[in-house]
Amino acid sequence: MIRNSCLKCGRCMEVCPALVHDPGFNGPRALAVDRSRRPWGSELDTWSCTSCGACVEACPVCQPLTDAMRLMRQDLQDTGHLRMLSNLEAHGRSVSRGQWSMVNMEGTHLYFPGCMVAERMPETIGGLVTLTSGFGGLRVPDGWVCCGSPPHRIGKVDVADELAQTNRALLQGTVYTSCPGCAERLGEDGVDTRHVLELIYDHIDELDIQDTSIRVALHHPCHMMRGMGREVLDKAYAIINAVPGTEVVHMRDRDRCCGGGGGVMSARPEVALRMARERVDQAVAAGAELLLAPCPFCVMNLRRADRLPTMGLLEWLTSIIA
Amino acid sequence: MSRTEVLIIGGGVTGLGTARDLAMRGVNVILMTASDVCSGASGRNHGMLHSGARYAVRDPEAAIECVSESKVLKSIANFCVEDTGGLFVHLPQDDPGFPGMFRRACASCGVGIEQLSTREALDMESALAPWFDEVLAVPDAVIDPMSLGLANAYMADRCGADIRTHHQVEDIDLMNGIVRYRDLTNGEVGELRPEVTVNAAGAWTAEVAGMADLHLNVTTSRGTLVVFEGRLVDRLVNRMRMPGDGDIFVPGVGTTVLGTTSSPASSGNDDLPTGAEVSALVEEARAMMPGVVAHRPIRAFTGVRALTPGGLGRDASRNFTIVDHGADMSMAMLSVVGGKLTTYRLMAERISDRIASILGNGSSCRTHLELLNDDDGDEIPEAHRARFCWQYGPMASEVWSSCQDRGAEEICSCQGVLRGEVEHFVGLGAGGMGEIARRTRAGMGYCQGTGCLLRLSSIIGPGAMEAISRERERGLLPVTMGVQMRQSAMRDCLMRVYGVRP
Repeated sequence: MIRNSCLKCGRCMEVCPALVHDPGFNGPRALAVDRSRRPWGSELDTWSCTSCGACVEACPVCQPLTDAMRLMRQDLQDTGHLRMLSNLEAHGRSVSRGQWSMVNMEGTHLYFPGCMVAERMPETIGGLVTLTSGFGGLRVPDGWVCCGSPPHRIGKVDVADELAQTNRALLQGTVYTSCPGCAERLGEDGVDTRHVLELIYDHIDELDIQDTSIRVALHHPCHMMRGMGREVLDKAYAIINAVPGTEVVHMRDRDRCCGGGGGVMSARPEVALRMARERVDQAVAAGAELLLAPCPFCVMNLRRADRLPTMGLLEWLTSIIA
Repeated sequence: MSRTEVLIIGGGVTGLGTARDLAMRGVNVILMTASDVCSGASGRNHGMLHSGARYAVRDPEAAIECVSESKVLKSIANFCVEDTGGLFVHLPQDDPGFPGMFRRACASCGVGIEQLSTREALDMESALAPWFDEVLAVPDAVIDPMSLGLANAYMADRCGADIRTHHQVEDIDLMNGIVRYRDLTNGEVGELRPEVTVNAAGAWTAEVAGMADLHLNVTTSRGTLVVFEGRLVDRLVNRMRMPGDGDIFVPGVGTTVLGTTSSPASSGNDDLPTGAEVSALVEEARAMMPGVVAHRPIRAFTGVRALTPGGLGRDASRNFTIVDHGADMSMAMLSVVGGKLTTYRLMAERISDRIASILGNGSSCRTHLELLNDDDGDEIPEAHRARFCWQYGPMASEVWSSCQDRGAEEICSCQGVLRGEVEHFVGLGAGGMGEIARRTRAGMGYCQGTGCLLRLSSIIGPGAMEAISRERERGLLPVTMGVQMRQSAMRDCLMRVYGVRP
């Protein structure tokens, strides 16, 4: 299918955020279309693809380039991913165990924390419980495992399917999460998934938010805007705009990927870092004093650039609730 | 005035094979071709290495030759042969008596066949229509005609043959033993006094005979083929019936060729494919592969073949004839008519045997014993080795040596062709898109020279852009539908941006 309609217009290569940061990476068309049509063996280096989907969005004939990239990865293995796979095997999380301990949550809304939030940013969960306490609160299902997004994106579809099997019974009805990667993956598995900021958006008037006087830039997480839909992003902006005294500044490339997705952080950390720096530099250039991202992967990676205070959108909101 | 033993007119695979054969016997030989090597039917065919099955019923003599020659080529030219195997499928609407006839004919010609169940065949070739009622497997294979032709030219040259492209023979004076020619690259004329002249001009055989005031009864027939993107089949798939239009799929390198039509050609230059031919082919091929209409046609091309007198089109024998004109003259002249790619070596052997006896040369043929490729490309990195060996055979390492540093840049991303490959052949004197494409395959992928246009023309030189574009469009126009319609629209915009088109 992929090879049947490419016109060689070059749009995918032009918009690919990884291409300029990794000289060894051949880019979406070269890998997904050109290389795959040749019978001769030639090395494939697919690991710098963050699965951001910019190429798919730009393609005039709607080629599923990121899907093709995932299919190619099925037969490849990168040592950087072995840790992720062994973590999954050992305790059902894509990252090693952190300080996660079950918070006492008796709320009405089903909340799926996801590995990154649970093991690396557990304070987020406490904050969210406080934020949502006025309109029902959150409840985390017992025995949840990784949503399967990280293994799925590196081509380990069987691992992802197994995880989905475990989660399926636990996730009935509307599920909220604070990770767009989880939301996209669970959505593909047929779970009605929303970003928890959508819940907060519905109740934003009920929150008592402090006056802040700060210039913020909002990074657009790829899997939110392209995976969940741009309307979720609009809600993120609406929340920021509801904070008195806040000024929003825009980065030059509004939809540029930060480099945190697609397993690039584990397989090609230096590429992910270069991409993060490019993004953070843009935020600095736009005059931002704080960079916000409604995605734990983006926050993790953007923080590695270490040039601008970077927070999760909801963490920030928690910190300025009166 | 130079003196030479044999002059071969025609740079197709027959002429090149004969040059190699004679040169290996120590004969002093010059080959002249009015354009490039393999620019006629030798470069414009499906690249099928016949097991003999396709000819078994109608043309048993040709079939028997194919049986032995295909085995020879699988050994001497294994670098450009892919032994895919082939299938013959019988459809319910076709003559129910044909399969029995076919099996008997294959048995008597010595073509090995194996009966398969419909299930087995569908497991092998899932794109086929499921309603065929009989399937036979045959030892058909795929051969790359350009690689084969180039390897013959290279090896002939190495044995001392003088291969001159763009040399047009203009007059043959049998009485006085003089051949006059013109070097088309600079317009200079020259004369030769060969002892034997071989007319192996393919579709132009009658014209060349005419230069010697000889009348040769040759019929020419044009066949159009369509190249599809991707391997739709992994084996050659033939329709089990009397050979007709649109009844054969040949897997290529990332492509599939659907062949062929057959209609009288007005001349050897009657090689512009038409949309009507493409439609007719695809329509007919749907019986075997209903999904073919959804696949992306890359381009169409037409070859003009010369057939031995007596029949027309498909009724004519695919066998070959050697006509001896030169008795009692100062110069002997042989014309070779008919034949096919699979038996080119045998034709060359027969012609060379005849010439050897005329010249009193006692050596015998060795072309079936010595490999066409003695280069295993050890120095080429693994990522490129397989393709280089397939395309360039004995030249692989030589071409690779031009691909260092800047030469490693990818020029044509459809085919993975490197700058150095193009520069290598430009350095050897190849000019123009056709000659570069025939040697390197640059610009022959699905975008048909859209993406590589600028890069290619920067190497080939001024004026190349328009010429490349025009050359590619010959084959694109008849398949301008579906995705290739969009591709053409894209291409058209680019041409305007580049200022090639108003």
